[in-house]
Amino acid sequence: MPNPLLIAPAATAPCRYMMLRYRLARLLRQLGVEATDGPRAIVDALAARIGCEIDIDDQHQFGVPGYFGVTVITPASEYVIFVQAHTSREHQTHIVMHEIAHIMLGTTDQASAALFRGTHRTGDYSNFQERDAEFVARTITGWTSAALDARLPVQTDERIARLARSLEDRIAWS
Amino acid sequence: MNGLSVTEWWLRSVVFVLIAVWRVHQTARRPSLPSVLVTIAFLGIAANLIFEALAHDESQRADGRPYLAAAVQVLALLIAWCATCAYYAQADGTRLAWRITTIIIGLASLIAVGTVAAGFAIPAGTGLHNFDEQTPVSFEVARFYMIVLVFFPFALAAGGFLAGRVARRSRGPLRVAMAIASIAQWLLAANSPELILQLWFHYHGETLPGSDMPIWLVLYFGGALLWVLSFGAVAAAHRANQIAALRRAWRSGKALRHLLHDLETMSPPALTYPHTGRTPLLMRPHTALLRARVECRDRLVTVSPYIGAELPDDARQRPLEVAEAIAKLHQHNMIPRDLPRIKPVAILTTETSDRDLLAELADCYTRITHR
Repeated sequence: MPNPLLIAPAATAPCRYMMLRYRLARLLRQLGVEATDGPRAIVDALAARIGCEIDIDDQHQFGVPGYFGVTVITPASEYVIFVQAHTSREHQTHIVMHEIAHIMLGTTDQASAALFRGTHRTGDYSNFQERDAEFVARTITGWTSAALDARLPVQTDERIARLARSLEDRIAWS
Repeated sequence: MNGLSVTEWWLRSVVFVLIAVWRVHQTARRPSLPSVLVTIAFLGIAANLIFEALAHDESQRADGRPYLAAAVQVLALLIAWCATCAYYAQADGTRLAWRITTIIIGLASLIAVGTVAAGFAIPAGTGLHNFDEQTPVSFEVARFYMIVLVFFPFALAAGGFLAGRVARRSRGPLRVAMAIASIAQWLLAANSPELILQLWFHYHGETLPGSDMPIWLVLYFGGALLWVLSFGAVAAAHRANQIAALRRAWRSGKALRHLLHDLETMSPPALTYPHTGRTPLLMRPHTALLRARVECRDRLVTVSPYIGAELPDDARQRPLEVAEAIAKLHQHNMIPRDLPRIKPVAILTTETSDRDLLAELADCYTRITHR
């Protein structure tokens, strides 16, 4: 298991979530993705950064109440994210972001003792690891939706698009 | 040079320094060639204004050498304008644009050498020339200003031409911004010969006919103001879009509140996300909307077997029928406290890009429960 890319502050640290948001923004900038690129680009950038595959299976039928999503680390150290099939695409994307947050925070191992080597989203936030992962997922999804809502007309030429980006206001992490 | 007091010079410098610092911060956050070039342009202009203010300070002293600071000021301005031309050229990306920029950089190099040499040649105690007043100008001073002023008609016209080319290929607010930048630089370029002629007339102890006409002021100040505005136009449009989106998000979030509240009473309380720190002000409507949408979906999935039991298969994708089933389950308190683990049912999952089934469900639910 590699070192976590995103280190959550101590549970009692003042301004804990502000610091976590700041660190998350820095990580996303380092990953080289724009908020308007969408969640799939974040998954791909993270996979490239940690140097392994992150596969998503969005056709898994988990019983309810229970898991919405599960991350499993294969013997080849690749990640497979299983997502509840019986929900909307938007909800599935959020579940994937929650699992991605666990990978960023390096909190996939802790869940392994119970069931398997991986982690899961159940919607229960009584422990800090789940709460932090959900905070990261909600922050990313909130940023991406705000950035997409405020998006200006897309430039057809890549050079012109770069010029436009240099003049645009900063929304989300970029 | 244009009638401002020393305090006004410093005030203007401070404003531009703040803009330049903001640009440095933006570039450090997300480095890219256009961002670096526009930051160099702003830093150059800020440095130009600082050295211009220093030159004016020096000019107040009887034995001052204001033309040394003025020469450094000109160097900063030359760098700023070369960066501006490169900024437009890299967006245009054609050989013509880069050739024009190369010529401007070459001209700027010659002007830089000439300016420094001419600045050093001016003896101590010579004050800066005020273009607003018809005062005698020595040969050294006239030579200094002439070398400087000869650069700008070409550089500004080149900048205007390149910005115009970028404007034609861009869309939306960027097109407007580039058109403004082009017009601004053509206005400034049109004003430049007047300054050269004014200097020529002052050197010969005469006044340029029509130099007091307001058109020259409009060209100079209008051009400068539009040029600065052109850099803020895209950011302003972007921020305006964000504010409009905030209102939409707030309205959408409000529409989901009633449905979320009733789903909360029907499903496990552990699904409620706790309060985590302070959300930035401009993100609050989106965060609230996201919370409502995620938690509505979490709960819909969790109680889906009970909703599904109330509906035939084909009605599970219709918001009105689903809303009626939820209302019935909620009204009769039909969902047990301790839910057994069972297979979920797909409820309102066939969303398309033009149809938001969750929003439709919230709307139907509000209408049904308020009848």
